[in-house]
Parts: sequence; structure tokens; C-alpha cells
Amino acid sequence: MKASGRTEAIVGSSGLATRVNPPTGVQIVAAERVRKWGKYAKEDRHLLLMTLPAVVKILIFSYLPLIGIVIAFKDYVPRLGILGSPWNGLENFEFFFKSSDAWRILRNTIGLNALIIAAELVVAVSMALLLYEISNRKALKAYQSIMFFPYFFSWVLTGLMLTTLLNPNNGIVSRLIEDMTGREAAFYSEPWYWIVILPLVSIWKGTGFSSLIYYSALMGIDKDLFEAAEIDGATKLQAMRFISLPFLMPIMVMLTILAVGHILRADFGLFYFVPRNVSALYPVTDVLDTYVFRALTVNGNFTMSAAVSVFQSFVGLVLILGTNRLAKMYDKEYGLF
Amino acid sequence: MNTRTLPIRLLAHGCLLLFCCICLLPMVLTLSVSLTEGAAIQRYGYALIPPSFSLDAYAFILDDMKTLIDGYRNSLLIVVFGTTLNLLVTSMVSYSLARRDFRFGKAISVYIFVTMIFSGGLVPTYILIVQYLGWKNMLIALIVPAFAAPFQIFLLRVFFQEVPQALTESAKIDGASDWRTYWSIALPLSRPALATLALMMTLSYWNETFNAMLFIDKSSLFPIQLVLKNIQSYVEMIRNVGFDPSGNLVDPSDVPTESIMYAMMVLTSLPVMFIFSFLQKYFVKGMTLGAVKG
Repeated sequence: MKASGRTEAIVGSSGLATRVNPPTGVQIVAAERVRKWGKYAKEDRHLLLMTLPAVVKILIFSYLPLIGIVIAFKDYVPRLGILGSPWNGLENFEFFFKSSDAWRILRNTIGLNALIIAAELVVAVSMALLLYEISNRKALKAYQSIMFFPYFFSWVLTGLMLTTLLNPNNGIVSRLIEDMTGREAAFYSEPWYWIVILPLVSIWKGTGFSSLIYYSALMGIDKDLFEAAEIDGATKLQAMRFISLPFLMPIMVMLTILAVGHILRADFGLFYFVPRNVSALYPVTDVLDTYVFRALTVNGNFTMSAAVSVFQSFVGLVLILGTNRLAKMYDKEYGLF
Repeated sequence: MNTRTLPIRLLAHGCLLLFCCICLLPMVLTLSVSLTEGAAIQRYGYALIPPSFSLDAYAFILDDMKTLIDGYRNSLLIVVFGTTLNLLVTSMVSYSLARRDFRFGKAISVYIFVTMIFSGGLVPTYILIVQYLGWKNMLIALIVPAFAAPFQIFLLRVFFQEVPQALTESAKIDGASDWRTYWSIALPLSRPALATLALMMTLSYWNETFNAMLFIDKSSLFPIQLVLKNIQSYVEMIRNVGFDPSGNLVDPSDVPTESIMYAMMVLTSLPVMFIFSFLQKYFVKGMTLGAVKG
């Protein structure tokens, strides 16, 4: 708005000088506005200067790449640059969606992420409710600290640690299964195990943090409510069901909306480092992000990766608007915006 | 005290204890395997308590420290420069946006918020950094892209907004510039929030792997996570070829290959574990505040 005001004003003033037409109302207002904002800028110059590094960084690293999105609609030749390469319409999208990978990868991305979102929600809320029942301060601190530890590990480390359980010869879970069933559990060559393993690892790493969010929300409940419920003869479970859970509902909905909006953006680390990029596991573990990453780094296929990214962003936007709408239809208070 | 709630409390303790054990299991196993003698692993598999104790794996790594030290140095550089500069950039913009009398605040907030919804994606960013900025194999490629993260800006803005406006105004009447009110009033009053943010930044810089995989392929520039990622190949190289990465001859039979991997994991995670177990309180407090408010 500011920029357009300025151009109008420039046009307006030059028109004034050459053609001697009386300035129209719009031009006067526009010129006035520029003068006003110019004055503001001068007065606020220190504050403006403070925003400068961030504004420039965001311009270069967030806005410039937005222009780069056109690469998804082009036949990219590095020599010609992004803007100089010839257009090729939707060919890059076609290339991905007609490939045999598309269905498998979309299924993995959406299926596993939906599973993870649901599982994490259930576990995090249950843990928060359990933590809320603990009145011993020391025990509470200990539980929370221990649950928080995995949050600090990188995905690389997490993936390597998992080998202590799943290593084919020595991992303790592999050994246990071998002892019980007599058959070898080849976790790193049989993809179907990972439908269970990936959500479990995600819970292992994330619960400390996500349960903390719910726990701190629970701390905000007025204790009188529980006392009143107890006097009325409610059991602990009833109190949880009718006081605690409804209280957590808005946060649960909000976090789920956000998570669903990002459902096509899998956590790269979880899907790449935890299965340790073993190609035998791709039928289950390959998701959009790892696919794009490999297309870019292994095959150098810039245009298809870009097309998939664009598709990801677009669907993400639709999903976030859609889930927000749904949540609002359910209860006006629940919408995110 | 209350007998009626006792069973529920016992159940809660039981579930939480179980969950905590599961959280700890892989960590304890890692530590244990790193301390186990190579032959014992072959015989007994992994165990919670080392069947026969040995420090061979650590001795082996400490013998040829170069890989590890390079990794530590690179990660430390990234963490120190990244966190300091990022904290400065983020706090400056957050402070401006928190000031109610800043007339461009709204426009700049929108400008930043838009980037939370729309992003160019991996490819344009990759091309930008590699071809236009020429940051291939430069540590700066791992530092600058994390600057001024919208989420952190808005998180810190909430804290700066709590600095009483009257304080800033009276300082201004006494002739303090905006820089002065930022540096001498807002920053000191928001120390806990800044500490939390610094911790978040430190953690994400220390754990940075994705950008490193994209932009760094010189092994002397590998941050610690990439060193860790390549441990497997390092260990396998020793086992199969009989050379370690610096070209020294090794006899594969007296190398505790498996324990080496786990020892390396322990060595790379120890400093972080150590720091964060002390600072966790800060971290947790700030994170929850941010989550509830933001």
C-alpha cells in the first residue's frame, strides 16, 4: 500500500509540472500520505534500522525463493539461470504424478503422518493427565526431566540409538523376538515393521515436549472445580472426562489443525535418519521430503523436486484453511484464525 | 492422605515410570555397549550392564581424534556465531515490533507472518545458496538461514511487550535513544526469555544436519552431526579395508568396531546432555510460556 502510494504521488507531481492540470483529489491524498509516512520513517528511523537485518534476511531467504518457484514450471538449464530457462507448463508435475512413485509416496506421507499425529495426541494428553495426578514435586520433576531427554537428541543420534534395540544380530528387541518366535526379525530389511516403529520413535522423542504443553494448560484449571466435583460424588475418572479433557480441547484442536496443515511436510529427520536411509525400507519410509531430497542430491533433478515442493505448499495451504473451517463449524471458539 | 485417590495415583506413577524407563532404555544401552569388550558383544549381544567392561573403544577414538575434534570445532563455531548473531538480529526486530509507537510495526509483522505460510521450498533455496550466494562448503550456509525465524520473533515480541511502556517512555523523556532503551531496558528485563531463545538456537544449531548434508561435502568442515552420520561408514571402512580415514594401517581383528560406534555416539552427545540437564529448567519454562502465549 505504501509503495503504490508513492508511485501515485510521483506520477501526480510530474503530471502537475508538465501538463498544469489541477491535481485530482486522489493525487493530493496520495501525496499527503507519502509525506506523512516519510515523516514517520524519519521519526522511527532507529526502530526501522533495528528491523533492517531481519527484513533483509527474510527478503533474501524467504521472498526471493518464492520467485524461484517458477522453476517448477520450467525446463531448468543451470547455464540459463532460473528466469532464462524455457517454460514447459505442467510437465514437471506430470512427470511426478505419472511416475510409479507418486502413489506410494503420497500414501506413506499422509498415512504415516496421520498415524503419528493421532498417536502423539493420545499419548501426550494421557501423559499430561497422569502427570497432573502426581502431587509429589520431586517425582514430578524427575518424570518430566527424563521424558524430556530424547527431545534434545538429534535425529541422527536417535537413529543410531535405535540400533541398540533393532540391530539384526545383537539388538535387544531383535533378540527377544528371535527367542520368542524362533524367526529372525529383520527390521532393517522388512519395511512393514516401520509402520509401527516410526510412530513409536516419534512418540519417544516428542512426548516430553508435547505433554508439557498440555500439562501447563491443566495447571490453569481452577482447583475448586475438582473439589466441587468430588463433593458431588464424581470419581477421578469422571473429573478427568468432564473437567480436564474439555479444558484441553481447544489446545488439542489448535495443535491438530497445525499438524494436519503440515501433513505433507513430514519431519525429514524422522523419515531419513531413523530408518537410516536404507533403500529396502523405501516402500514404507519414503515420504515427499525424503523423495525431494534424494531427487535433488542424488539425481540432481531440480525441476521435479521444485514441482513436488509447490504441490506440498499448495495442499498444505488448502488443508490448513480446510481444517480451520471444520474446527470453526464444530465450535466457533476453536478456529485458529 | 486421601485413600480414595490412592489407586489412581499408584496407576499414574506406574505408567509414568514405565514410560520413563522406555525413554531411558536406548540411552543406557548405548552407554553400556560403548563400554563392552568387542568379544563380549559377539557372544552375548547388547546388554544393559556390560558383561565385560572395557574402555578400548574410547582409547581407540582418542588415539585418532582428528575427525572428532574437527567436528566439535565446526559445530562450536556454528553454535557460538550463530546463536550470538541470531539472538541480536531476532531481539532487535522483536523489540521494534513490540513497541506500540512504532508505526511500521503492523506492516513488518505481516511481512514476516507471510513467510510462515508460504515458502519457496527446498530447490529455490538450494539454488540461491549454492549458485547465487556461492556458499557451498562454507559454514555460513549453516548459520544465516536460521536467522530471524518468524516463530522466535513473535515469541520474543510477546516478552518485550510485557516491559512496561511507561519505563521506555520515561527513559525517552530523559533523552535515551531507541537503541539505549533496547539495550539498557528491554534486554535486561527479558533475560529469562533471551536465555530460553538462546537455548533453542543452540540446540538447533548443534543438531543441524539437513543443511550440512546439502551444502557441506568437505569432511574437514563437517559439523558433529555429519561426523556422527558417517560413523557407520567410518567403522565399516576400518573393518573392511584395514585403514582408518587418515590412512593409518589398522588390524581389523583388534578393533572393537561396534563399541567404537557407540562410544562415538556417547562422546558426541555428552556435552549437550551435560549442558541441558543443567539448563533444562529455563528451557522448559520458556517453552511452555511460549506455547501458551504464542
